[in-house]
Amino acid sequence: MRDAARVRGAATGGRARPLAAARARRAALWTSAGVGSVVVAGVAGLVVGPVAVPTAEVVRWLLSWVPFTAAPTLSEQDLAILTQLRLPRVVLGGLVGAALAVSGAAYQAAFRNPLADPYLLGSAAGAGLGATLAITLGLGGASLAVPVAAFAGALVGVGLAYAMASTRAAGRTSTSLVLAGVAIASFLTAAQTYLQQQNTDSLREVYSWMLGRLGTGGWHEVLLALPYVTASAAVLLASRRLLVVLSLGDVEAASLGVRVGRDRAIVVIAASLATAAAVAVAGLIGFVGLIVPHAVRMATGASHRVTVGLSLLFGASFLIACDIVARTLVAPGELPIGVITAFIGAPFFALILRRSGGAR
Amino acid sequence: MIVATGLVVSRGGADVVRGVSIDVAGGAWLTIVGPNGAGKSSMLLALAGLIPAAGSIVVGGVSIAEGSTRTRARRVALVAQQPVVPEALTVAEYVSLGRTPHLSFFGTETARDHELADEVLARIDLTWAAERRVDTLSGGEFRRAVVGRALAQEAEVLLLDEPTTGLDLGHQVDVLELVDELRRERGITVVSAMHDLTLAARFSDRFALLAHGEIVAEGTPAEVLDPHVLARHYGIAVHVVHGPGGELIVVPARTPVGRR
Repeated sequence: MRDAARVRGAATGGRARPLAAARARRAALWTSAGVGSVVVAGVAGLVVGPVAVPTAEVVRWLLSWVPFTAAPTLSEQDLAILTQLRLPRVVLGGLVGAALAVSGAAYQAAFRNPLADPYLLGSAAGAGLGATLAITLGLGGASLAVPVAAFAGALVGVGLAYAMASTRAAGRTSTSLVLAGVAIASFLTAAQTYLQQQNTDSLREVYSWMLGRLGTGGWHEVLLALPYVTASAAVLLASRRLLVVLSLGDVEAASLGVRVGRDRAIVVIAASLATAAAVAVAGLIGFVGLIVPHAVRMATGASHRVTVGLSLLFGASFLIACDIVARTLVAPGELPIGVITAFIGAPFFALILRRSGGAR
Repeated sequence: MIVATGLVVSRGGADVVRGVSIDVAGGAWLTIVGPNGAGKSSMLLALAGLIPAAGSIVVGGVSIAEGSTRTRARRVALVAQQPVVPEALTVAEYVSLGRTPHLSFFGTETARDHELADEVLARIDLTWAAERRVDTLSGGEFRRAVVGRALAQEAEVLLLDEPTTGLDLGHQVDVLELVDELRRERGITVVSAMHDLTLAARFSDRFALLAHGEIVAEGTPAEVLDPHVLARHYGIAVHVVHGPGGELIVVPARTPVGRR
């Protein structure tokens, strides 16, 4: 039988390039679809709102940034709405969605755990404590105090979890890191609950932060998150192949010459930094980091190499779309975006799960 | 070639490998045999440089303690006892992972790496399955892919930890024949740990019998497969008989009822 197989192998010259090319084409097609989804969601995000701005005008305005195209014909008021309200909100939504989804994809690969999400290592709990601290200290009014405190809190949370798991006795394994994350998260959440209970007057403000929101976001928030999200995403995208190797487990990855502890730390730090930046500017938005990477994996059937990048794109369009729903469903009021991500995400996930026949 | 001298491995506070020395010539096949818990797997992991060990390990005249993790993986490849079956990877991508030690940190495969992976696929007769997902392969095919991945590392030493676990008879022989052909063609040095003494005896040049972390017998399979030696260390009576082609066959005897 082996000989027969060998003849077959020789007959094709030992090459499988046409099929590999088809795989590459499929990946490129999915990437285009991802970019397209971001564009469509972005334009929709600019068009939809209480004040009607025609789609054609919005598109012409966007194209006006391309040299040698016609100048836009927007009124000053429309221009202000677009540049000061809707565009920063769309950009922030895309940035936060991309950060959460790409971190989720990276965490799931690095920890070989399908349930790993961006909030795994105590970053959410740390951010919650930081934000609560800032709000109860009466700094909620200062424009960047809460995001900066949340960012610092998230980094402290992840840092503590890492320090706890990195002792020789803890074994420095991915399991010890996850366990340390759970312990740190419980501790920080308890501290935050205590703080909240002592300052019931700021309960509402803290609660609204926890639920996540993009509504109060402006260019300030975009500029705060942008450098961290960009740098982290670049590192994670460059680590795509490494993530595949790490998914073979510590022993096999090490036998392939990977310095598992160090390399996983690089991925985890990058993902945590992106998460901290996202949480700092948008609060705790659940579901995106967990669902988007899985949905992408199930829909494409591709490896981490392809899905990390696709998670970034589809995470961005998913959150922009969710934000449109959040601000139109009960207009002129707004729903917390975390509610929408779960309401849309869960049925969508069920659909993909049914169609793909399971997460394999 | 791989030479280990005075190898000591401690795990959980106890020495599981105690001062073992081996010397395997280039292109030779040494099989480490011994009862469960003798330290076979620990020894292979130590030879691969994956767990800390005292003593020296020299591959091709150079100590593996010198150089980076990456350099070591270019010289020693390991086929783990139960390799992880990754999700959503094609067989071609899986075999290409063997190129990892030849790439930089953020690097990706070059055309030459792809060519080499194609050659490996052809050599292990899996070209037809190149674009199939690894998790759809049969046990025997997957094990060939794992050997292929190790082959793509282009290492001079191949370590095999129980390479036939979970395979049926035909596929056990199939995988071992593949390894045997590869070492003859390419002069790869093979060190394996195996439980099936009969099968191991058919492929190995030499045996080292490990018990309680020490080598208690070493030599050709015929020398080591002595019923008295085996009985002493496996704690069970065995018969060693010769097959029609002169091959050694090890048959454990049943413990008489009531003697357990």
